[in-house]
Amino acid sequence: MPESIVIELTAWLAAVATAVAAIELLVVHRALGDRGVFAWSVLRREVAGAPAPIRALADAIFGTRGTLVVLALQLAAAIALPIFDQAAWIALACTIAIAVRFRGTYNGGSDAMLVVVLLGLAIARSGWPRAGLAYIAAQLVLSYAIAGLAKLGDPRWRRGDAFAILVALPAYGVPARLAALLARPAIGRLGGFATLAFECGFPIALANRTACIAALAVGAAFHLGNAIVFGLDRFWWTWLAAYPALWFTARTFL
Amino acid sequence: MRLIDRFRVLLPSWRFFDRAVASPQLYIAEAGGAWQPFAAPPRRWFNWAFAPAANLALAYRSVIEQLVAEISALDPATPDDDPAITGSVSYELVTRIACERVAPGARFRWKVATPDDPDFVESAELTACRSRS
Repeated sequence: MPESIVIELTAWLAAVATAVAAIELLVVHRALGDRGVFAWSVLRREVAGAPAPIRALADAIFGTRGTLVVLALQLAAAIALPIFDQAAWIALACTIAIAVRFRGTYNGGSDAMLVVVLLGLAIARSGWPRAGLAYIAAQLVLSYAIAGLAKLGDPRWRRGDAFAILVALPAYGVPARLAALLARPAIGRLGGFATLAFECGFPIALANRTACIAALAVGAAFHLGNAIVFGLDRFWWTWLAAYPALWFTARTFL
Repeated sequence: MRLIDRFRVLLPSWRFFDRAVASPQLYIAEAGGAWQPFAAPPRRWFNWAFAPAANLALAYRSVIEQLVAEISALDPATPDDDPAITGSVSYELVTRIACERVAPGARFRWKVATPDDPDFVESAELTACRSRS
């Protein structure tokens, strides 16, 4: 697959991931208003010690109206991503601004991967296509390998108990019947060990073409499963947007 | 929270679900009522692709975890009504989360339970906002 097609595919997938991120926050915009949980009038207390120009800039960008403008701009940049090269920089700036407003991230690791994809795409379209794609690919491999190795430190993951614990957490609202099914010892162990094997073994995607196809196919299924079970929809869209870069990088450099 | 922490999206840690433990749980009680857990919104069929309410609830969970982290960093003898706790932004945000689940004008309390402490921190009795956000 030629480099230009890979970049275009990445742009389309990043456009979807960015648009979903912006629209989801626009849907719950009342949470950002003065009476909402994430009112800037409350959050701004944490930047009270910053220099006056930074406070003034933060008030302008992160107030209710400013945040809605940033979200609208993020959505517009998402729509423009497949067409205009510079849209990646705008989408990147908006994504970082939203994360900063929400004290570091709104949706955890999915925000971080969206920043990685948009930054890599922006670099790729600014005259360094292979560097941008290689950056996305490297972060993608690291994301799985680090997540897998970190899990090995927890005995519940090593014993195969972790999956049953996670599906029972109220934070993810896993439907009761699905949670009961996944918490069965055999299924829970299978799910837990499969997760460990996939994440720790993901760097094998760099070995050859067949391994790369297999790893990306399993990865797509893994994220779709997480989206269905845990409701982690943004991880599905965002990680998918990083896959073309790995495919290209693995075939080009290795 | 330090200003630099607001930029942590630029330095991803990639340590997802590295500890399979129960997360802190927020409970809310209207005056005279029993503690009710703050629950995630019901799952909808399209949430695998688009989940604004569920992701907002996850952002609320992050706020609760941040409050627990901040209180854990204080002297364990610090009382729940100490300004070091009640004056924090995280405390105010958790109060607002609880407020959303209470009828306008009602008296209520909230508490956060952790796996090690069912009464990790408890608010005084508060009056819910006049209108929900």
